[in-house]
Amino acid sequence: MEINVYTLINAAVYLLLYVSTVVFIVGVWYQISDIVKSPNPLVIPQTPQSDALCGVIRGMAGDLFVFKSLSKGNFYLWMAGLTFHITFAVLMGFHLFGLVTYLASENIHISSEIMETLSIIASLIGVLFITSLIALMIIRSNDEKSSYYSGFFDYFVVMLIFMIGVTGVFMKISAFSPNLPAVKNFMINVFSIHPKAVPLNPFFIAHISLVSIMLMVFPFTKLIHAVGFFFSPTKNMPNNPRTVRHINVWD
Amino acid sequence: MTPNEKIMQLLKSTETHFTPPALTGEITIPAVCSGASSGNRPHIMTNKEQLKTLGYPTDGLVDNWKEVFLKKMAEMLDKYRSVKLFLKICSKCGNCADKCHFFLGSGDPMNMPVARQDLMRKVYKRYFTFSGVLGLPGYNSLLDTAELTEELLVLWYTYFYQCTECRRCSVFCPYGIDTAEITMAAREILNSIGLVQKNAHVLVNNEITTGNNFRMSPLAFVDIIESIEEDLRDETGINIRIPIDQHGAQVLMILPSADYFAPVNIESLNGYAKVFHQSGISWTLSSYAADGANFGLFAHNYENMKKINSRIWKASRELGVKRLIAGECGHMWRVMSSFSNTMNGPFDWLSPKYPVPQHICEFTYDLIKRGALKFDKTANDHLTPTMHDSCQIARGSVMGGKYGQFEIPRAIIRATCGKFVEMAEDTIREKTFCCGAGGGLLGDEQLPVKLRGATPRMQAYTKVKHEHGVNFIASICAYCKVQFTHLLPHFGYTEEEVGGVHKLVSDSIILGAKNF
Repeated sequence: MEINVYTLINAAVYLLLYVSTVVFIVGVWYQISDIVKSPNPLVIPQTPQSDALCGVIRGMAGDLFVFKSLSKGNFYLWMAGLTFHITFAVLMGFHLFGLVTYLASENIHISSEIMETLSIIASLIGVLFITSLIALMIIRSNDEKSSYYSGFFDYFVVMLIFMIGVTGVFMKISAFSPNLPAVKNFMINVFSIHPKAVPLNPFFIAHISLVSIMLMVFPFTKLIHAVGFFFSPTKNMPNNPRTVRHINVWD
Repeated sequence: MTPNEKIMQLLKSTETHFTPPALTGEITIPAVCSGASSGNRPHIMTNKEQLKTLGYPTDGLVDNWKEVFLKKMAEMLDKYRSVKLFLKICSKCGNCADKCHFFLGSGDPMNMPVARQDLMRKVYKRYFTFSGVLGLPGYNSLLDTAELTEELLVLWYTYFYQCTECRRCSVFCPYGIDTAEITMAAREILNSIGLVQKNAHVLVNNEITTGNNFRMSPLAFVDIIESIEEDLRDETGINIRIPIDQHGAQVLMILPSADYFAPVNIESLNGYAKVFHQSGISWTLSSYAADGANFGLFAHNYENMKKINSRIWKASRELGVKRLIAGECGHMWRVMSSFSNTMNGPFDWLSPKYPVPQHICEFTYDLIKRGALKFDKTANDHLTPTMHDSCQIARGSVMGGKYGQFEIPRAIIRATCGKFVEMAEDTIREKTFCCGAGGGLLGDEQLPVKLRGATPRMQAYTKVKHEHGVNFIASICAYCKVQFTHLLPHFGYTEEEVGGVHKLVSDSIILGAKNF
């Protein structure tokens, strides 16, 4: 077999993808186990908090979908943060949609008009995604207070995700677009652990490499808040200590 | 100089005076002023006997303090999910930064809740994470970590005693990160290495050993209550009793000791006595559990908090009461309503028909709803009151429903006063500004910090004063009443401008024939 620079690129990309997936899964698993290892000795909900489970879920849904608590403070921070997260979620949804429709292309057939419309919408949402990240970067650098609590990884992580967005949106520009069937085949090869040639589009390679790096740092930086939020005792404990006796497991 | 002598030198307070600015009624976000509040520190406890009772080192900073520090910190992380989680997930959004009254009053960046938490977070990242432990100390700025040094201890001792554990920051955090939990852990870590704050821990010691903040004997307690009873009799011409140690009474009432020591608070005690008198429900105080205050709350020392709280339930059992009612005290209500059941429950000798425990405001409000109490509102016509929601009640307790702790006291004020004005929306209810002195920040030496901390609340009060003629701050917390009494004169106001909700009840309740 001839070994040249393309082989090296292929090897590096596949290695990065598989190693980052493993690191992500193991890292998140480790963080969750570390969190649940420590119990909640006392009932410490924040106001307002329902005394019943369904109310607690409703409250957490408020924080999850519209960042209710954040909305009580700085308006621009809330707007930029919410836009970023919602566009991020929608873009992930589009990625999943693309994967599913490709895999089921024998059974599901979507007209090219619909696909083109969705493609344009996705591009606009992608632009909104990177705009919201620019807004967040401006908020962090403009505020004189933020230098007292922002560290290297705070800037690094937002830049990383920003570049993921930029490389993604650039791929929608026809001059920079990769060969779509080749990309789809490549993703199937990745998931079925059947390594073959990586499409040599620089934006595509940059995009998936940056995503891999993000997956690797995810469990070990503040990005773990995505998982940690659900364990917050000030959000997930019903405010019913008088009627239901909460047990302190180490007392 | 030994390390202990060195640290004691560094921990001396260098700021003793502070003149608060003239109040404009507006709460503005100050320019960041590094070190603005870095010189004031509370006294250190040196009494060896008290330190021994509390279980802390008796000779100041221990020699192997770094080892002990990390051991205690590991224990805090293992026992409290809140501490561990909140150190991990902060995404530095900064929403909390300008929400703390100590930051708003000083501009000191270390008083931003996120920065206060970072004092511990950086140690966590350095000694409890893989990258921190691996990374050489030189990577501190890259990894956002900090080394354990005497300078760090000074910062900890300074800024973790400039937090009243009011939890306001937590309201604005998207994950509900509660700086109070971090502060409680930090204080216990400082305690474990021999740096024990004096004022709060003297009270913890007093509460454990005598059941009250003032080391009063039961006889002294009876004396004080009898003289209050006498004054009440003179004032009303009616034989209103304040029973003590009455076996078989329906209700055991637990008071903060301020309710029988401080003039402003005694008016609330008069209110409770009048309400019980009118209701016809038998009640009693307990000389064994004379003081509900539980300063064990303010550091993560569960054993101390539990020990102090257990007196209340033991008294209720021994007196054979069926109900337990708590007086107007903030942190006492948090411990009693949210933590008692876990620490000392279940309370199967008390009647399940009533909340266990019940707040005096719940009790009074229930009677008002049933028409059992009548008021002459004109008695309070000289007052235009506003409600100051005390932090431990607003953000850490339960009084029925999601907002009972706000609605119930306000309903009582409306029932007893002709006028009522709310302060600005973002300064009340769950966003209420702490009075600036709870959480163990009692010492007079911390007056500069307390004045700065009280400033946002004073600004909010000034605004409604100017716009609506408000001249009275109603509160249901013993410490808020004491703090405002001391501080109002510094801001150009008078001590008479603060009082309890049950003072309003006391002054307007119509005594005499029962109404049901």
